[in-house]
Amino acid sequence: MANIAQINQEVQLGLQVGSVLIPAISGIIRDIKANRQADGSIEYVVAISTGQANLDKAATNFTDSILAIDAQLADVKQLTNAAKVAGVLHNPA
Amino acid sequence: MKKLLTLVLILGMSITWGSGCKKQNILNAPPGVNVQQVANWYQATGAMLTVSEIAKEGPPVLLSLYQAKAIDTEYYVAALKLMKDFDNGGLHAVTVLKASPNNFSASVKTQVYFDVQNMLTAVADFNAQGGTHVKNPAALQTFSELVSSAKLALTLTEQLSGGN
Repeated sequence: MANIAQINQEVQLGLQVGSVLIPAISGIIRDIKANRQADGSIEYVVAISTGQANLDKAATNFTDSILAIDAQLADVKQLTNAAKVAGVLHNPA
Repeated sequence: MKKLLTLVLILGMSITWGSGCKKQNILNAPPGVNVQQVANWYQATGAMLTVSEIAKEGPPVLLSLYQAKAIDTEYYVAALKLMKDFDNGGLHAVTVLKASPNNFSASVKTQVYFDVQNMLTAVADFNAQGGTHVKNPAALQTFSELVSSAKLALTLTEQLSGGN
């Protein structure tokens, strides 16, 4: 039996991946267990850290990405304007 | 990029919800909230964290492609704007999840599912335009890994929020 506080620590997802060993994702996967099935296949049970703290981290990641995008858009706008002044197109690729 | 490759490897494999889940009983669930709703909430938060980590990799990947002149300015700007749509969808989904702790109710599912659909649309547009704008095979490979990771991670959330 577990209470919510315990479940807060991990959620388990099942990945059916044949005989391929799943590598851990740093910071997300807490544990991986291999269970051999009756038909010979191996089922991997992956425990993933989740919870309110992860939502905070996810919000930070999305926000950081938006800030980076805004900065990059500002840079390209500045470069494009400078190129127009200089009479050349930037990064015609 | 190594992280992206790892995610592609893991998430690209067939995912079977529930078959590998250990049964857990919750003693102190709030009134009117069942065990499955709580479990789904935690699974969705985990999926959104994965999606957000991929999203964070997006801008620097695009910048490197742009600086290497593997993509033109027009596509670079368009792709950044699509990424921003993607991030805004994720941020909203996270806000919805945070507002309803421990409970992935029908209302939360509907809202998160809507956000995920918008994010998938952004990824599809991003991918469709990239196919014609990314200039060399190595850059296309990098681009494809980013798109695949985002799609597969979003699928995790979509399966949950789709009401399965």
